[in-house]
Amino acid sequence: MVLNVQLFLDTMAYASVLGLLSMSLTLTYIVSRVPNFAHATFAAIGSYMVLIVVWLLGIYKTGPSWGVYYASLPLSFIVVGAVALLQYLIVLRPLAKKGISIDGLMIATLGIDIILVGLLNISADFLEDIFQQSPDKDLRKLVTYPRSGYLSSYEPTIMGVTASSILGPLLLVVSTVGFYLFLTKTKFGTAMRAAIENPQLAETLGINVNLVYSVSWFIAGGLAGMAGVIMVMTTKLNPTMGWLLIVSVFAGSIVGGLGSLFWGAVGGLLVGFLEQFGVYYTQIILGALTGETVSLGNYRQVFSLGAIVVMLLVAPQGLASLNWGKILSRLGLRR
Amino acid sequence: MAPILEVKGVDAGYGKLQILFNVSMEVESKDIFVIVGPNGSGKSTLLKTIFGLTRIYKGSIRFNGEEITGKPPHDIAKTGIAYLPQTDNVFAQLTVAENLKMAAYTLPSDLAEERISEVLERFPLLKARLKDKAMTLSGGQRQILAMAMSLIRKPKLMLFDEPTAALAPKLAAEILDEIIKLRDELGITIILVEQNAKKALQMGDKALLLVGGRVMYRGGAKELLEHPELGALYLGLKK
Repeated sequence: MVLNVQLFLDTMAYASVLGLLSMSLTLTYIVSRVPNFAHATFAAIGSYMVLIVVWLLGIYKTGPSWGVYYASLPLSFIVVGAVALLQYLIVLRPLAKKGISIDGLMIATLGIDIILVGLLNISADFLEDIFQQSPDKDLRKLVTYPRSGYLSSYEPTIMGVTASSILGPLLLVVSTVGFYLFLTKTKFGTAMRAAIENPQLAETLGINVNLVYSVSWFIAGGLAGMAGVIMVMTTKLNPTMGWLLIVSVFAGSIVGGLGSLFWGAVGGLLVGFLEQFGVYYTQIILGALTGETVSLGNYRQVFSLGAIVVMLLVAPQGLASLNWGKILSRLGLRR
Repeated sequence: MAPILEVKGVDAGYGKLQILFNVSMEVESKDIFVIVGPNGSGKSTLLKTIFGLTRIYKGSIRFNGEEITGKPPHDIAKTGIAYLPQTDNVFAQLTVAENLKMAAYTLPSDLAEERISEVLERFPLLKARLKDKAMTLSGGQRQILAMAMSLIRKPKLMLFDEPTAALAPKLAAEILDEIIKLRDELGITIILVEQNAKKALQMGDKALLLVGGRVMYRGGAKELLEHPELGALYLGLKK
């Protein structure tokens, strides 16, 4: 089969998750110049918000419901935004003020990641206990969910298509366009760009640089949290789910050039498609060659790591640095 | 009349590295005060010290009778001092209009618009470039934009750090003319650090010669220009 519709739909959800995460990772990178290794675990926290919503709103009894999204998207935006803000205020900013190098700050984000995964493990234990000891028979069925739950069974469908395949891309487009308008059309957004480019000058003009950076971290965390809501619809809930994903997120940001939010989003999307379809077609080809069923799902990061290598060799500044006008006219797509 | 700016016995530097030693100066209101000296003598550091960007170990700085020693730059900016660094004095990625808007960030929006149109009247070349990114401006235009940005806050004292560095001679002369106009037309006091000592001393009222972070001369600018020894020794001026 050349084109697989279900695969395409799944990929839409997965690739938009990567798009959102690569974009928000790029935002924190532009602001603080630190590669944030905790970023994918931000998304995992967002994923856990879905389980909490399924539990607290009684969705486990009623089955698929839009409430999954209505409640968990804003909830995860706020909760994960707050986590990211705290990471900036409590850890990164004080360390940077003491003159710790970028390498040091990067290691600090690794430490934060380990702490966050630890907290997710504690929360998972806690939730398992609650579910297990519940008098509610339906709730007791959720006992395995905190460590390996497929929450996609609670999401609604639109004309037979799972909601995440449509909501994911929609969320990516809305947040990219919304963020673009915010940065270019509002005074605070302009101040954000100014403070990021030249904090010293911004400071002398009376712009509160610290506030600008805090807001950036909050928004970046919030977007990662919402990405987590979509993400958990395509994969198994687990405290360490961010650890494998972070490779793909960085791949997306690097492909985008780590300098532009728009290209970060595009990079994430591309890496998502590359991973999914790369795995799928390599399986088909290897299967045809060997005559056996080949399963390569666990090797998907090979494709994102490959994308990093190719990008750094061909255009180290990422997609953002390419002259698209020239490329399009060469291809005959633009006069 | 009391001087608008008074620097008294200042020792200052970066971290533990002391650059300035017992520097004193008095700047009269509406003067053009020129700081000259060989490379690495601490001219820029002196400007930065006035604007609160260095560490002051000893001494005091008063502006308009108000103690500003050790205040952070954004507070000093509020007292009516504008500082124009040598480079990175505009936001390259922002358009000219956005740069001006950011310069008026703390002003209420109607006042901001009024001030922006005022500076655009003064510098019409910026009017034609409002939608262009500042990075597309030439070096001279960037200096003009930086000047316009400081003027929006109606400063009483402007500190210029080598505004003509890396500019073609004709452009450099234009920029210096604009600076003279700021004093003549708007009554702004100017402190100017300038590489072209001759030009600067010709336009200046008072001057300070810094050598190795110490004051070697303090007095009239023309007198320094005609001084039998100092000019030739430190400024490359012919006798």
